Amino acid sequence: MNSKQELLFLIDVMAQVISVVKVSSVNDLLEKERKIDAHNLANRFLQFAMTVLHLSDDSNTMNLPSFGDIKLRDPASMDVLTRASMEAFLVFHQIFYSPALGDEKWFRYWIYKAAGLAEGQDLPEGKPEHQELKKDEKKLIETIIDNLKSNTIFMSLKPKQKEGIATGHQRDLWRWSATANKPLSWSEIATSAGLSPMLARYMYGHLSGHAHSGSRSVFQTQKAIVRG
Amino acid sequence: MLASPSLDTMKVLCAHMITEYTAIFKEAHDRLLRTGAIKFVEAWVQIGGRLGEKPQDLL
Repeated sequence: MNSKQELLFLIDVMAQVISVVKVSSVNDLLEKERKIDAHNLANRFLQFAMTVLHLSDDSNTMNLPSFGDIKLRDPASMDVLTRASMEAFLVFHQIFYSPALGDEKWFRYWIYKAAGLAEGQDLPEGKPEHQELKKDEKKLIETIIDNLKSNTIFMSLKPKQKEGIATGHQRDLWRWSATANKPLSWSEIATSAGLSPMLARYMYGHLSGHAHSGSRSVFQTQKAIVRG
Repeated sequence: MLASPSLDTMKVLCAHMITEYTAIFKEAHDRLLRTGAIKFVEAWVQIGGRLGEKPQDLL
């Protein structure tokens, strides 16, 4: 198998294992919600992986009215999606796979949920249905904070950190490690997930350069318009 | 060797994701056993843990 065939094989295996899962069969409601989120995140990862493989196809073309068929060769976009895939995997590892203790498991999960909901609270008021959604999501954040009040890790946080969860100013606390007693960096999560330091640190940095249009990545960008 | 950084990194990430997902969902693990792909998945997990140990990996 060549490199693309190997990735296709792994994507196919992943699609197979995801397709057989029926999360609706989980009885405990909280555990069910958590499993649904894990399942959805795995599906998100799968979509990224399929798109990266699709972009790697040298025969992709696009028809621009003024230029005719042009080659669609964009390794930088592959890198951006690979970085997104790495983050999706690391979130999966940190939230759904790695927590061994009950308090740490639920702390990370609830903080992750609250952080996503808090993002929506920053959006400007729009249509009436959006306002209703914001109100509903605010109630959900309050319910999560209530759930967290008996959590030992939450109880150990400083008052400012607790307030920041509701306002969305403490979005990275889902990376919390009870052992380290601090939120982990992406690189630390990657290392704890078993990735080599080269992948965890240097590859992540390289991929991030493309995501943020760093000057190094811009220098490497080739001419966009190449006739097919 | 990282001849194609994105593709090789994606293979490592897919292998890890399959491993962790199937550890959480039993029916997914049962399916993985039937694919006969476990050795291949494990091999890419191991590659991902060692990548960069040798200077030529960085070429």
